[in-house]
Amino acid sequence: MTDAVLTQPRRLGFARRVIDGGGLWPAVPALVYLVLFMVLPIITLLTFGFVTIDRGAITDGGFTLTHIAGVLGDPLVWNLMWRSFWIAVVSTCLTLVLAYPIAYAYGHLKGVWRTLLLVAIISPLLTSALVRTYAWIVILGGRRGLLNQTLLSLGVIDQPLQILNTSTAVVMGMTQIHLPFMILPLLAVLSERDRRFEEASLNLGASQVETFFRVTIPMTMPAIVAGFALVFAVSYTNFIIPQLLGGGNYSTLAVQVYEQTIVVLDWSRGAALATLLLTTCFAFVLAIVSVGGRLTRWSEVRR
Amino acid sequence: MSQIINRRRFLQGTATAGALLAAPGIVRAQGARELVIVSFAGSLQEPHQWLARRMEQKHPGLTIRLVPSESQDVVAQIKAAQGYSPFDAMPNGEPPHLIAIADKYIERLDPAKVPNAANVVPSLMEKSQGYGVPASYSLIGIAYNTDLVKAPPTSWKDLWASEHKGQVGIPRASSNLGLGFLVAAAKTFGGSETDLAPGWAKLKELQPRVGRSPTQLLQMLEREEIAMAPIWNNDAAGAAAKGLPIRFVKPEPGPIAVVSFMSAIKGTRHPDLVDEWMNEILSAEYQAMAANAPYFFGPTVAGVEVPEAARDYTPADAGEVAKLQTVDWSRIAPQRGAIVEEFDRLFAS
Repeated sequence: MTDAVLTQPRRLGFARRVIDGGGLWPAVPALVYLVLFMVLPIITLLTFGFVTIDRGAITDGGFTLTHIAGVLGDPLVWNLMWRSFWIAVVSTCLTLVLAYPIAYAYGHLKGVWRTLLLVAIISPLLTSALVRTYAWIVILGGRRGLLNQTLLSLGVIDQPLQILNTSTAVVMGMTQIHLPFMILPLLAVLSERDRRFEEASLNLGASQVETFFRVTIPMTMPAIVAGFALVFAVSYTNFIIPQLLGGGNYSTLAVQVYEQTIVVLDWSRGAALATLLLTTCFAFVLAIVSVGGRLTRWSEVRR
Repeated sequence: MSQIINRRRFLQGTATAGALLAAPGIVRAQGARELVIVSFAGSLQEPHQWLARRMEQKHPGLTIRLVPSESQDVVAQIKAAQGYSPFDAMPNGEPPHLIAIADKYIERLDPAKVPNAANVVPSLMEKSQGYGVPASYSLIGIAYNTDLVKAPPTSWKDLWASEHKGQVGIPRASSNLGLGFLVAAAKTFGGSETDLAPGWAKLKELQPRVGRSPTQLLQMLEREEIAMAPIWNNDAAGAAAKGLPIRFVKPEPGPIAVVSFMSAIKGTRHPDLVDEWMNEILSAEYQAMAANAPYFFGPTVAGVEVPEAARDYTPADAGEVAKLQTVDWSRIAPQRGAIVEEFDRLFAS
């Protein structure tokens, strides 16, 4: 028997390394597509916030901070940013509260029930968010809405509830429509977790509740953080739901971007607002991820 | 070797098959022309559809594509296209018509190429300022739900009646409807196009529910979220024709009349066809059809009879014509952006 001899891997030549590409080549078509159709248009749009546009063309004035300063100095913009943030936080927390039990149940179900639950979770994603938002209009809308009709006919209320075209309707819509984005990351982690940790906790005398809060939840913290960041980002930047369920006197930062770009046709202000929306969303998501990083620090291997 | 030949043959075969499949389309494209015209949504598009089919029959190989759209997003597309507009012609109410002239994206009219323009009522032709043709006019009045409102409103002031507090819907000030209503409110309570402050104060006092578009306001009326709202006569007529409990009134001292112009978009690929389209829009046949049920577009051509069915939706006699209120849009159009912002400051913040 001879000892295995560990040899250094042969260093590749420069040309070979380029051809090899470190596994990057298969991703090139997607990267080119993203750069051409997402990164460049976004850069163009954001640039519009720092130039003046008149009659669809950039004027000779060159680089200016007037538009971004105008946006940052406008109390209306700060009010709407606060509303966007608040609505996103509330609906994200609600999705977490509703999604966790579903993902937990999925981990405990077997066979056909498990498949049925998965279909129920995924099926809303097969219809457009617009259709689902319209469904909420049918449910909540006025005296003839399903909810009010039911409550009125049961004699629970005398006057129809005013839910549509309020913040409540926006939160309800956002929570339901974004629910799958919270369930799916939780589901992956909860169904694959190592149950022996929970068994050990129970064997050591902890109650079911203690085990859930001190073992199960910390184990799923990475999924909670991922789901929270994802749902927060899509809620903060969503403009269809506030537009349709909030009514004409309800606005958010994302709705303002649409209004200024498409309705008022002030592209410079629209772009300045889009810059604000993008950067604040990025900052909030970064904050969520860094707080999440602290909460899951225990799981890191000590060096 | 055989593998290479097979692959080559396969590629050759695929290319040949592709060419064969594409050939009819390519051949067809040689004689094909397409006119893309912005139009209204829903049943209000039907007069345009009728005219489009008629022109297609007259010009073999011509396809007229009608794009139902709010003029707002169309304008954004035209501006983004930088002179290569995807549309050939578009209808515009008075405020966007003035903006289009200022922003130079519609063409000046050549009356020699649109002979029917000579038949248009001169005061309406003047409003076009030499761009496009006045295709129709519509009224802004009040629509109400007959199940909720037992005593129909008769004047603009009735929107502020205490029994309907909190049950009145208004449009956003970004639309022509919203701008027209803001001016109506201002004028009703002592203001004018240059003094909108009384209008803003009364809008705030109304504590209204706000619809994002005329369609949304109609849906709110239908769902009994609101009892009444300022609305276009054509939209109210369409809703009533569907059997909804919605009626339209021409409120005192008079409804607001807004002219709609059809204009060629700068850089259109088929200027002759667009001229023909505009000429046909001004034909007595088209005007009479558009003026009839269930569209009730006010005719702009002299001598076109307003049908009896339109009595509830368009001015029925000379007295009612005299009552029509017009707006000096040259005062309003330039401050549209500021008005929208003011609206959001009042209602959305």
